[in-house]
Amino acid sequence: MRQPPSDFAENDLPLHPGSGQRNKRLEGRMRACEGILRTGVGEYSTQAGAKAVQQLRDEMEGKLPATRSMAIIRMPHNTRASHRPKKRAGKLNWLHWGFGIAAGVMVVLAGGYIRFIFQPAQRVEMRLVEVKGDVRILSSWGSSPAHVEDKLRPGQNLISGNDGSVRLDYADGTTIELPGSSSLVMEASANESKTLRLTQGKLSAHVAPQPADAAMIISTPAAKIEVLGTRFSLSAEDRTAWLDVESGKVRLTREIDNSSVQVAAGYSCMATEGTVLQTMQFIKGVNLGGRAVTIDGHRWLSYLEAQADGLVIPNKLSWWNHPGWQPVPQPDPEMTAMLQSGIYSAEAANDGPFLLRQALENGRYMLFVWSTENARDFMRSLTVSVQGVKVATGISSLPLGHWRKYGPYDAIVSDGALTIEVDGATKIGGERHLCGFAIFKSGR
Amino acid sequence: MDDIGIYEILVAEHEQMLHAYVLGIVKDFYVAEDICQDSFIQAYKQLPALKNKAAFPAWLRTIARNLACAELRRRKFEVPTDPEIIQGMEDIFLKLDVNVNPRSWQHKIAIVSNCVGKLPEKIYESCRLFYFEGKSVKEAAALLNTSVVAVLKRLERARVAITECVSRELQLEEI
Repeated sequence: MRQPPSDFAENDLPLHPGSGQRNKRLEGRMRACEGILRTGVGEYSTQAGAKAVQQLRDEMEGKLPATRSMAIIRMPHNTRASHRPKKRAGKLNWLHWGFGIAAGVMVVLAGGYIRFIFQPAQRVEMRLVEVKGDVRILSSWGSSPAHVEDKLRPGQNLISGNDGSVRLDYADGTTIELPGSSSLVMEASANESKTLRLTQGKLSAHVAPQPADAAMIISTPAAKIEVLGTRFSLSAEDRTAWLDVESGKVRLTREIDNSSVQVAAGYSCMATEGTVLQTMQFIKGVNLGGRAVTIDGHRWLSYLEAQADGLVIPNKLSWWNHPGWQPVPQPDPEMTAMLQSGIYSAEAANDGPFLLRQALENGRYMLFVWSTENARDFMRSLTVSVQGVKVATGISSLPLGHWRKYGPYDAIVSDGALTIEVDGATKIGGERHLCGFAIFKSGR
Repeated sequence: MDDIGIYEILVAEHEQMLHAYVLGIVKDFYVAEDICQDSFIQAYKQLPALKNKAAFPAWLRTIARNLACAELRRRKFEVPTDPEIIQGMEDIFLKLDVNVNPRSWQHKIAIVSNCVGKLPEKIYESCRLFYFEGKSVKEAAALLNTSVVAVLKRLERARVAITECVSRELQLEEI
């Protein structure tokens, strides 16, 4: 915005900086300011960097001989000043004109053809459109706080802190949302495809339709997904990737064995070591001790709704709900709400063994359970049994404030009910507890 | 990511700075662009020799300055090799290298645009037409209904005023 004149009156301003050493220094400063004025404040935009990088790439790939200093390689995308046409003086006869026009047409055609062949790689950038809390951009030369309108470029790493979240978009309308405690790296790609690496945490994406030969690729330590246009969420831990597809289709490839599966809308997939890579369909989720929540696009029943929908607690159990408690790493608000409540077996309250029985159609299911540590570091080490079979030991051994999802645990229901028992050792004051569970059925 | 991929980030972070610097020497947008391009290529090849990575911007400017001076000599223009002139340019760019807001070039040069905004109306208009809208001095004079000489004087006054304002804002020593 133009500011009203204030500091200077026109006739007060000096015309020349003067002479001598002092003013040569001033001239240097003037040159600097003028350079900035010409390139930064106005409408100009330099492409020198992109051209240099393209030239270096071409040299590396052997398309061009290596250059030294000012030995310039004539590239079609290299619109050097020395290539700009010079005005010719003097009169030309019709023959000159004829040759000139013919040569011009040839040059234009050849230039167009070469330009087509050596099309420089597109710069795919993401723009930060919403930033909350602690979010930083890391590049190889340091880190800086992220702000709205910043751009994320290839090689840069976006990290959201515990209380941070960020929304980004591409020029084509594709949007990515990163909640807290997540780390996303933008990678360079050979073509126009969008390539990201989720090294930790979670992201939700709404991907605009992509060209068939340039699918969007998001990799995690455990898996890689290819997307041609859809809505989904993806989370990554050290050795596990979890994908929920809301609309469209996504191909997931597990890193460890390159096995892949196509995940359709309404289905999920978990890529981890030692399990069969398969799609799963959400059947039921229950927020034990708390309200109904929506997690990964699925509505989970509240504790009361679940009890009206076939969840039976045969023994007396206690429940807790602490809305002020903040889990680490902090997930999205709905997951947080789920982790803030739970049920437990308290000896002091004369509670019975921790046993849940959920009515279900007969069939084969996969069970996931969520637990937190809200008392002290490594307070408990729990055992989970499903249908009377011990499926996990030593779970929920966590630092104070942390949470974790466990599973999948296979369960075959043949009597119309799925039973979940929690047992195991706890230190004084610790109880056997769970925050929630989700049941999936093997997909197509 | 390969080395060039990493270097591309570095290039993106510094290309506008370098272009501004070279424009301060050669005053021609396209010639400056050529020199920047060559500077980035030379810098990439000599990067292993750079011991202190924090000095990258100043080191890059040195490469660009040498190339710019060579180009000016080739075109038989006056070459600004006086150490005081070079020091004067570095006064500004070194301050911008370590400016409090390291996010982007646009943010760093807010100081310059603010100083432009403080110019008197007539001088500001000459600057706007010449620097921001790319008009020639003759075109600017016609649009402002004044003489070419008057526009040239206004631009000269603007350059001095902006430089003094920027020097003050960046808390540079008085000269």
